[in-house]
Amino acid sequence: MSIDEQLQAAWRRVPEPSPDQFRQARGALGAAINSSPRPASRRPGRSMVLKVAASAAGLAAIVGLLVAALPRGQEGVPPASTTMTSPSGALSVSLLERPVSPGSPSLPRAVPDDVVDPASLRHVVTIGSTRYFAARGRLDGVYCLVSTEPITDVCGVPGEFGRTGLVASITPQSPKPNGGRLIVGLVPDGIEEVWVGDLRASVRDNTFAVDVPQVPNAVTLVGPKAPQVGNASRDTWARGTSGDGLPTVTVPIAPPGVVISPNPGGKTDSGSRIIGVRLLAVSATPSFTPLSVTGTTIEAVADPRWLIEVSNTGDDPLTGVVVTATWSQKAFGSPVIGRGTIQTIEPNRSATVEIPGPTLDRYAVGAPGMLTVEISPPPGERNTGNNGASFPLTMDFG
Amino acid sequence: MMERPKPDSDAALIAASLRDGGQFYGVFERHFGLIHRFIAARAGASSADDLASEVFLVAFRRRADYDLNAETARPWLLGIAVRVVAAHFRGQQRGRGLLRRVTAAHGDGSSPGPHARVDATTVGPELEAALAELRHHELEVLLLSAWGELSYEEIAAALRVPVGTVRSRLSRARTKLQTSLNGPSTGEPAPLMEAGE
Repeated sequence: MSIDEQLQAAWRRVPEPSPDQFRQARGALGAAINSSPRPASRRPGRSMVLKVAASAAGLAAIVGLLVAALPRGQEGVPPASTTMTSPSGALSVSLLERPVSPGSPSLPRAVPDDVVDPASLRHVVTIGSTRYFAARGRLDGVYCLVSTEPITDVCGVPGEFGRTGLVASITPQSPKPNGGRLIVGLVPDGIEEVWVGDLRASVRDNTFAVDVPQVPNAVTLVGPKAPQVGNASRDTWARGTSGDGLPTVTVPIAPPGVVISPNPGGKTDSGSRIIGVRLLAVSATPSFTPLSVTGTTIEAVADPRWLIEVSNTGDDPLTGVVVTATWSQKAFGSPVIGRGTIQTIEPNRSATVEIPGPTLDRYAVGAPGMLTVEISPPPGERNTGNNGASFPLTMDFG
Repeated sequence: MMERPKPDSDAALIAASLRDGGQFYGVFERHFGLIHRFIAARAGASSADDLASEVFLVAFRRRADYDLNAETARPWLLGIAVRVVAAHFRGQQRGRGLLRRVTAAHGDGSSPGPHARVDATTVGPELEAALAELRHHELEVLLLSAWGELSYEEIAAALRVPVGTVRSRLSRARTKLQTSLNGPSTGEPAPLMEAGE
């Protein structure tokens, strides 16, 4: 074996850092970044702006918890619809890298610990008698917003690879008597303002709250990281450039049909029963490597397969749950779509389905691709925001 | 003349990070994996977390010095990694020296062991022994080429030496390794002098 071959063989034995190692180092860097001087506030028209198109239902998929109306007073000039760039790197929620502040309000009585890591809960805001907390999701790279009274969790991926680019949401079943609504939400690092129509809300601790007269159909995020909120792999995210040369991206933020519900995430009342499924985890065989929404590299094999774990978060057994895994890679025009069906999942239990991935002739070794997993919603489920996720993935020899 | 960096480039992120430090996360996210692996292969997995973290802290502090003509920050970051690892080894050396003096004073004649410059668990004992025969700057050039996948020009930028020096160091390193591992090479002889030094 030549010297180069020996060195390369040695190099291939060096493992990638784990998500925990990544997070730890990112936290250390975050401390340095946060202690560096902040930039001056920008006018929206001069900023890099992410225009997020949203249906009434989809708005909350960005973020929102809609509750009681608040006094107004956040009016201003709406930002220009502009900007875009190619995303680079998954975003994060720095708030969760910091220690819990002393005197933080007490935690929710019943933390949905199958969804969020209770140890990561951070109080972000209290409005009326409702407290809001940010937390890490159980699925790597996922962040959640948890509210009290009622206990509600909404989760999403604040990075380029997410379904929304932001944090998932809940929509109110009905507006308040005066028609006003309050949107509370988590946004990724690098977003400084949120505009809803002509209303502006500042972002503090990755959180904003804005009172709106009615559910809007668009939310505009303003901040230096706005261009990175997006998903380059999805054609539906329109991109362009503003008149002054700044990049723009317009992102549909949730699949149609997402309904905001005060029930715990993923569940929906159907009469007196709750119906819901949730994507718990995805791993690749034969290595059984867990996939991360922030990106994973696995060994290239002739016939990779996906192990997809789905939980039944409802009250009744579910039958015939269909799971779809779509592998796409730029080098190949058409995606490789695999489907599997889980015959039965009992309430509060999970089940795993194995779906074939692309054969060796249908993927490029060493090149990034995207695996998107979707669980078909069972009849009656209205909150489908946690029914799927996208996983950047590279299959390489080594 | 410096051209405006491409929007997605590391140079653009670093330039933007001068106004908004948060932009630097993009550089971190692109390169942390490589830097962590490079350091783990040199200094061992147990030191890699701290040292890789240190690389990005140093890079963030020095980002104003970054050459915005360089679209990718990989050579720059690997150059910092080389220096951070070297400082780590120097610290270990000092520790060993102190240990040696202490143990000598107490009549313990145990050896502190060889000067580790690559992680033995990564390269294996045979290759480790061969790499240990290289001079420090020869080893750095070799590993930046083999593991960092840098070109001669990028290595020169990373180590702040002339390209000719990189060529000669790499040639000499390969010759020495060839000799250590397989006997004398039948290829071209290594240059007698290092260009540019």
